[in-house]
Amino acid sequence: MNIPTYWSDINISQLIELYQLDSDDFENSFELNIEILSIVCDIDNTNIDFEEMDIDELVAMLSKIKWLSETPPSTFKKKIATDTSTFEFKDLNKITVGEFIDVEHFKKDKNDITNIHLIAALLYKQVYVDEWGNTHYEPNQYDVYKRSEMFLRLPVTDIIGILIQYNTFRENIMKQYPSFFGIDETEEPLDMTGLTAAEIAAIENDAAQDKIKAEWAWQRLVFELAGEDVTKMDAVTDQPLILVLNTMAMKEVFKQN
Amino acid sequence: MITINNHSIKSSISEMNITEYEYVSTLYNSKTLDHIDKFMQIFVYLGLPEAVLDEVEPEDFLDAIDKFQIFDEEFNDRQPLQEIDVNGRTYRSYEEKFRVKIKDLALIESAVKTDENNYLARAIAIIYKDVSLTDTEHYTKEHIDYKAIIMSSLPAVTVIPVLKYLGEAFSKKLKSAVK
Repeated sequence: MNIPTYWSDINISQLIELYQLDSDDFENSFELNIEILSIVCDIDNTNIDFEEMDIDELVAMLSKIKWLSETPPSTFKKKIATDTSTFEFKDLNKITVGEFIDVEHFKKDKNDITNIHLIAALLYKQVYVDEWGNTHYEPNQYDVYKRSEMFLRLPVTDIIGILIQYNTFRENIMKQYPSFFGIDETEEPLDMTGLTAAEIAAIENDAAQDKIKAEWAWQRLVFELAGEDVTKMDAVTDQPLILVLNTMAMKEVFKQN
Repeated sequence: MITINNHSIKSSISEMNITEYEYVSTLYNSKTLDHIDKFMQIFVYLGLPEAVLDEVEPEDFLDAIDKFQIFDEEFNDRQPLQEIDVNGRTYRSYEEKFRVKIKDLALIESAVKTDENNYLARAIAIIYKDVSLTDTEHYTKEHIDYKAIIMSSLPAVTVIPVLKYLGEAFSKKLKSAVK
């Protein structure tokens, strides 16, 4: 049995399976660790009778996959080549509104790892360079779910780092344009001393409503930019995100003055 | 045996069965009872009438505690029995060398999780298999439940070498487990 020795020896599909394991689903830790071994070694539990092994045999195997307890490295390949095409990791400063919204959707509810193949399918594009040296990314007219299948077969270390890359970009965007995403960094936490229970409940209700609005902030943005015309939303989502946010920021400045 | 005010009670592991040994060990290792309380409860459990506790002289009580010995190094070095006979049936734990397979360790771990103060008889029931039954028959819950009951009255010394093996096995697993 081939036991992987590092993250580069397992693929994204295996990573997602490992991530989705819940210890509460197992009656005991032996079953859980056997399942981990099965996933990592990419074998069917029924082909190897782990249960017939004794503790020393199991321990020897588990000690070889101790590296799973460590955080994966933050590496990723800028170019990924298949038999038919080459895909490049998109310059995030050129990400479109639609791509941003889709990535945010896939990341929701802490699903970064579970949906990493889908996020990769959005952020890796085929490119061509024109005669003037400009890079052009393929338009978002492909089936993301179908495209994502190829990323499931890649080694973890080929793309795992895109999450950190994207999160860094996202944090910067949120910091630069907090009001567009429902985040007001100047707002101080409210001092609730002396307030009645009814007043505190009202404040907490407002905060909950604000949180919901923040989750829908990007959709509100697109809807407003499309002049509240749903048929024009596609034209907005194809625009570069930074351009759109800068335009919105400019509008805010003129509105205030 | 030790005697307190003319009442004899068991005082060593070689005199107890598995159930008694496990209950006494739980009391002995209690982190909430103080030293005297522990032994009051242990002696009563082993058959000392409660009224005697009001009559016994403190020195005699402390003397009884000194003589009470449930941890005996002698049994630690013994090998687990290959076979045990209960009610005319033979139960075997190994063929050539004592080993507990992962399947059995997993079941024992589940038993410990269910009740960490009452799992030893079940552990023995899992490890010692009726030689006349198939594996499928052995691993049915009802069969193990029944065996745990009948094995709970086995001498506690049966358990000690097995306990030592289990302790080492779980410790190894703990150190190597990924999750």
